[in-house]
Amino acid sequence: MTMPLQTSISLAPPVTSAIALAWLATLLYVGATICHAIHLLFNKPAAQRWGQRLTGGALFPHGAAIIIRWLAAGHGPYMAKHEVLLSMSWIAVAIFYLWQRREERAGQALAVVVLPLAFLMLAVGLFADPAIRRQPPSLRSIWLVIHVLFNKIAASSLLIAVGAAALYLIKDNKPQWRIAHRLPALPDLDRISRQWVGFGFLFWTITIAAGAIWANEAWGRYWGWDPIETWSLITWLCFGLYLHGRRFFAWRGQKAAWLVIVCFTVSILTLFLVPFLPGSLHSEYFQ
Amino acid sequence: MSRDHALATLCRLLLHPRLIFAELLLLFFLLVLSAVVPQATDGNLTVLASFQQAHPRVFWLFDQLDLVRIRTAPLFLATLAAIAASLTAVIARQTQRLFITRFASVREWGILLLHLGLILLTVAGAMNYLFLQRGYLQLMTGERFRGRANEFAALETGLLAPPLRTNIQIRLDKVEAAYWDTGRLRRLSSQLTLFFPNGTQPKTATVAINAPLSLAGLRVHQSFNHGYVLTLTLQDPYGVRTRTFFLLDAPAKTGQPARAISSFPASPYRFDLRFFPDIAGKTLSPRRPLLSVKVFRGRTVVFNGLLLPGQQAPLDANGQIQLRFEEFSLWSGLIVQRQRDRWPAYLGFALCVTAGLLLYGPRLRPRRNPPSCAPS
Repeated sequence: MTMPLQTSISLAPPVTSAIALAWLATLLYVGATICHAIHLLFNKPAAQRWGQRLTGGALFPHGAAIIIRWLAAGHGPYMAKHEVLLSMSWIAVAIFYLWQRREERAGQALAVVVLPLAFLMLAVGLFADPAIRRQPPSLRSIWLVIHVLFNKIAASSLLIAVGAAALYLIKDNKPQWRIAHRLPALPDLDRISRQWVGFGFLFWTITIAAGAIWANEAWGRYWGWDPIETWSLITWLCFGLYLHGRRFFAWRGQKAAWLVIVCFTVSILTLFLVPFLPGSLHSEYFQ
Repeated sequence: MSRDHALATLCRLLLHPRLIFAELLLLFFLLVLSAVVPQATDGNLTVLASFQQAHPRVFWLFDQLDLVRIRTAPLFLATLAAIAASLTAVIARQTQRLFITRFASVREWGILLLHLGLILLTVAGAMNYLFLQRGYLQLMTGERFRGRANEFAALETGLLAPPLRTNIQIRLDKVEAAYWDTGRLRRLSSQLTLFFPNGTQPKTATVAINAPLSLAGLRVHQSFNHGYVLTLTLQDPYGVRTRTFFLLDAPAKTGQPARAISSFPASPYRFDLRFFPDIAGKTLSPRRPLLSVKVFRGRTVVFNGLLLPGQQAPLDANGQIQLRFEEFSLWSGLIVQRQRDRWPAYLGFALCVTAGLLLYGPRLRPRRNPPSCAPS
């Protein structure tokens, strides 16, 4: 038997500085959301520009927090609520920020939904136990990196899709509201939602495939019917049904928007609640 | 009706939107049902066992309706087969579009590759389901696996495959386990000696978690499962000694004992064993081991005390029946599997990634016409 390592690096100075940087990022995201909301409500282009700058600026301390923690822990953000939510929110905001630069007008409106959801995720992560978890040997594989990265991209895409679906419902159901006039046209919101669901669906597919290949490499079988595996397949089918419904039966408008919200709820259940079921191999990553 | 015509009709049927949608919807509902009702095919069967214990009548009803075996039910398998058939038809149609009618947009290529990737992943899964030969071994250090199917602690066999037997013999020489300070496993590996038929020179090799060993058509994986082997000897009044090995799981945390409650074979005694690998409670490595043992005869406790390796204790007033803690060693869980082609899964994965690039890569370029923000 070899000697165990006795080094304890939980809440070491780098970890506390990472937390401070993450809080700074949260404040900047709150500021960015307020700026975008002011623009949406009062049509102030300057506020919108500041909103974008704050979002882009917040990505730096947020990213730095993740890197510092990564270096301190000696492993990527794969385990425990704190680091999973920190990294997931960073990827969500980074993807949104890049897309927002491409579709500025739609991005301005969507920012008031996506940014609050992202900083909420970040804040929940910050309130979770920040102690560094030791990486079990099963989580040392290149397939883990692929599996986790694609999953985070998929979840972030679905966050943007649900934001567009929520705005669609607001604009369609409450046209008398002041902000409804400033939201993108309904067909645009519908298109954005569909595109991001498609993007997320594809990345979810790759996540499942990478996980199955990894399981085969590690344990000699692709699929073990672990609760998360089952729920992940359910989520994938949910979005698959949405996409096929749109293609075959021309599902549009409110029906499609509600379905995106339902599918997103299932994905949240899969990502954040199912890991708490007893006996899940994936419990390590979020408990 | 010509063969081509029959194929075209079948293709049209398989591509019917309502059929495809119905297949996906059915699979969705079956999966939700299998996620809600504990299943006999679940990785962790304790959920099913506790459900049976807590709700025996509901369990009986579910059992009668086959709801605890949804994932092996004919309906589930037929749905999967129908989806695979529809996927094949989609691939045929897309190929026709791309190569015959030359309607070749990047998007169409993306759709083709995505469905091709999905069918390959399904093929990989189906091959596993049909031809899987996988066995779980629990070996003590020094113990040798002779390659027989009945030596496996558990066997998983595909629908069309015979039980796994190997012509290679495996001996476990050493288990190396390292733990983090919290008691969580940091590293686990097993040193093995492999004996080949026909007098070929034996080979030594090491398997670790995530680092399997491939040889002669077999793959040996290191599982998470490992622990301590306690060797106890019971001496009866006539001086006959019975030696027994108790395999205990390593505890999840430092400071906790490895525990087992078991009867001693061919004796009226029942043991409650608590093995502390380190008296100081600082590590799970057995550096300063101690065994706390409670021995029952019926409901009477005949011995309750601590034993160090090599120590013995009397189980009766005359001291004629003796229990001896001989020694301890380690055991390791190994997964042995007949190796099969893995390329369908890898190729399927690569095709899905390529499909992603084709479907969404072009959209990353800046748009020429930004969407309108005018009220619709």
